[in-house]
Order: sequence, then C-alpha cells, then structure tokens
Amino acid sequence: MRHADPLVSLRAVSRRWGRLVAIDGVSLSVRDGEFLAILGPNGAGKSALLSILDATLRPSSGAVSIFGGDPWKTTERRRAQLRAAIGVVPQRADFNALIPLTVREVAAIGRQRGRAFSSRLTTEDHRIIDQSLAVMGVAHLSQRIYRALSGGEQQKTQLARALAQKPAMLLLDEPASGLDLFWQEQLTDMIGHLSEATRLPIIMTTHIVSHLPPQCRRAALMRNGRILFDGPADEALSAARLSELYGFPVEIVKRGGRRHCLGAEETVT
Amino acid sequence: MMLVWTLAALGSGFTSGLLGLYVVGLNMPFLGIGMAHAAMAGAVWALMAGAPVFPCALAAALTAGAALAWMATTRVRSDLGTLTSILLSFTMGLAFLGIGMNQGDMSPMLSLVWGSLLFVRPLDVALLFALGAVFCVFLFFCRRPLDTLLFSRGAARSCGLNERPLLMVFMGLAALVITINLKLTGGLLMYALLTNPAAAAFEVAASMPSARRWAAGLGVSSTLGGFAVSYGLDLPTGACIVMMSTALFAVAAVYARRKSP
Repeated sequence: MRHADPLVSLRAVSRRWGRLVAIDGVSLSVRDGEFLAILGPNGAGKSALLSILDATLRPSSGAVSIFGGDPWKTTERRRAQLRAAIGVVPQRADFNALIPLTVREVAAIGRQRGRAFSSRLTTEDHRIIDQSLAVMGVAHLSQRIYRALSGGEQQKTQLARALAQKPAMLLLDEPASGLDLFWQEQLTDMIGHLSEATRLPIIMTTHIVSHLPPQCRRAALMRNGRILFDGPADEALSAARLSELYGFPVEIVKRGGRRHCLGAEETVT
Repeated sequence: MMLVWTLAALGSGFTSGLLGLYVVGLNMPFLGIGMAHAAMAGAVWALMAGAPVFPCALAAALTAGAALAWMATTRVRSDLGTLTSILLSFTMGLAFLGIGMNQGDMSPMLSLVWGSLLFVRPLDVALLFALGAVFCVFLFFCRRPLDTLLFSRGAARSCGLNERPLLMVFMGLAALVITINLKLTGGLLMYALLTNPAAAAFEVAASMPSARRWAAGLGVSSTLGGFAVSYGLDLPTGACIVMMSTALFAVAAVYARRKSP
C-alpha cells in the first residue's frame, strides 16, 4: 500500500437482509490521520457500515479494501489479524455482567491482538496497558470491577482497551450515546484530544451533532443506508443539510469550536 | 471401596465445577444435558450396530461439541444458549429414535442417563483425574482468551481473537469431561453439577481466579457433602448431591445480596 492510498475504501457497497437494505451503494474512503464523522438518524445504517469497515460484516455487493486488501478474499485467521489492527468501541459495550473482570483486565483484552491463545503478557504489554488507562483517565480505577463502573467510566475503559490494541485506525460507534451530560462532554473532549495527540484515523458515528469534537473536519451524512453528502464538516453540518437529513428545520449554534443542533422553533441565544 | 467412591466424588465435583464456570459464563446451561443425550444417542446406536458402547458415546459427544462450536462461530443469529437448546432437542430426538428402533438390552445406555457413583471402577476415577489435569493445563494456558470470550464475544472478535479453534478445543474437552462424568453421575445430575456450583461461584467471587477456585471448591463440596449425607442417612446419592449443590447456591446468593448493594 502506497502512503497516499486510502487506509480503507468502499466502492458501491451494499448490504441486504432479504428485502431489507441496510447499506445501499455506499462509496467512501478514509486516509491516514483523518477524522470522519458519519452522521444520521437512528436506523440510517451507521452501525452496519462500521461493521463492514471492521470486517465483521460481509457486504452483499461492492468492493471493500481495508489496509490495501479485501478482507473477504482471505482466511478467517488473516481477517482476525486484520481486526486486531482496528480499535472498535461499540455504542454500549455488550458484556457479560456475571464475569468479574477488572478495568485493567478489560484493557488487557486489547493486547490479545490475534496472538497465540497461550501467549503471556510481556513487560511491553503491561506498559502499553498502563499508558492506555492513563491516557483515558481511568488508571486510578484499574483494580475496580468493570461491571461496577458508571456508563461513562465503562466507555472510557472500552476506549483504553481499543488503544491498548495499538490500532492503525479507530472506529467509534456512538460512543457518548445514552450517557449523562457530564460524561458526554468528557468523552467528546477526550476523543478530540486523542485525535489531535495520536493523529490516528478515526471514523465515528453519531446522531447527535454536539458529540463531534472540533477536531472532526469531515462528515458524511447518512440516511436509509445511503450517503447523502460527504465533505468538509463546515459544509456538511450546516442548518440546511441537517434539516434535510433529519426531515425538519434545525438551527446550528457553534460554541468553542463545537456545533449544537436545535429545533428551529426554539429560541437560540 | 469407600476410598474409590470418595475419590470419584472429588474428581467429579472438581472437573464439573470448573467446567461449569465456563458453561454458565458462555450461557450454555443445557450443554451438560445436551451432551449427555448425544452420548446416550451414541450408546443406543452403538448397541444397535453391535459396536462398543463407551467409545461410540464419547465420539457422539465430541461430534456434538464440534458441531456446536462450528455453529456458534458461523454467522447464525442464535446465541450459544439457544444453539445448545437446539443441540439438546436434536440429540434427545436421535436417542429416542434409537430407543424406539432398538429391541435389545438397554441397560448400558440407561446407565449413562442415571449413572452411579457406587458402581464406579478405579479405572474410571483414574481417567477422571487425568482429564481434570488436562483441563487444568488448558485453563492455565488459555485462561485469558477464554475469559475474554466469556466477558464479551464482541470484544474478543474485535481484538482479533479467532474464536473458532478456541471453542473447538473447549467443546472437545467439555465433551470428554461430561461423558466420563456421565458414568459416575448420570446425565441428569451432570446438569445440576455444571450449573449450580458455577452460578454460586459467580455470586461470591470478586475476580476470575477466585471464581475458578470457588467453582471447583463448591463442586467438590456438593459431591462430597451430598455423598456423605446419602451414606449417613441411606438416601439416593444423586438426589443428595443435587440438593447439596442447590443449598450451596442459595447460601451463596443470600451472602452476595447481604455483601453488595
């Protein structure tokens, strides 16, 4: 793969389940260091698109290239190695609340990285885990049981787990959804700083405009499985385009580099 | 003979308690009874074909385990719990089909359903201890990826864990542990021994290493305690073991409620 080539690219990708079309002819590419937001209402197909980008969902048609190769023209073992290079943070991590793993053990999952089952954690692994926990501000919770944490702390731990993978790309699926305002702000700031500090390519889905940090400079608008617009964030996140996306008039307020979307009827000061 | 019975109870409680931790953690409570019926089906069809019963029962359980691991890692929507229930219904159907067609002596097959600690031979106990050792070695080396699978299959997949070979080995060992335990405890008791000590362990444990110790310890306490009660009061052994494991779960659940908010 040449340096200028995109890290991931989709060409006319569709995913159908019977008559249901979740992804409909999507084409997009992401280059190293880019922060792409995929914005759209619930049911737009954002999560399905991320699953295609992390090689867990096979498209029904179209061409997928991840790090220069088609993940579906290789073995399951190679696909597992490919996934190890992609850090994924799900909307709200599905986890088994019976299992008493500590925060540190959850972050250590990231060091599995498609290795042999019997491989042990090295000194370097421990250093990377400690560093990831510190970057996400959860080092002081490392010996706490994960299931006992608040939703925001769990999401930060999931981000630490993804960072511990030392990924070549981060995929964030509505990471701040369902959290209270305090944690929404914390996570949004943290993701912005992470992008700035690491220059990792990030693809983040959301349906809430204010969850996008100022560091996000490109946005794709998605509805009914299609990309309606893909371009600079300033252009994509305009009142006119978002009104069209959500199907009712909205206004955009910009504060501290972040945008907030309000219903047009509301008073904006 | 008392020493052999005690060792059999010890080995059975230890292996099924430890295995149960992963069976419950993976949400497969019906695995024990499903594999027991697979072994039973293998035994029935072996009897009809005039083949050796125990190797065929073992082969049937191993096949069922491999099929379950393959299905669980293929893109089907059903979770492991549902797939195990499907396995149970299929193996039950296969076993009863064989019973319906078989005109001969059914006692070797029925011994797999009911088992008996009192008819256990020293060779069975030696086999059980050897298997327990193999299972411990497997857990020692593969505990991290296994714990990851238990915690979140989604996280396991996204960090590049290739779950199929791991589940295949685990299911193979589970089939061996369950089939060898069947001769001692029977299919119905196996269900309780795989579920109750593990569920009790998850109630009280604060970490995975402590959950492993609790599960093995509670498994042994269930079998040895149940055996002692049965011997002392001249009651059926299997029923006493089930009652003991259920009582231990109840104590663990009450303790956990008092300890945590």
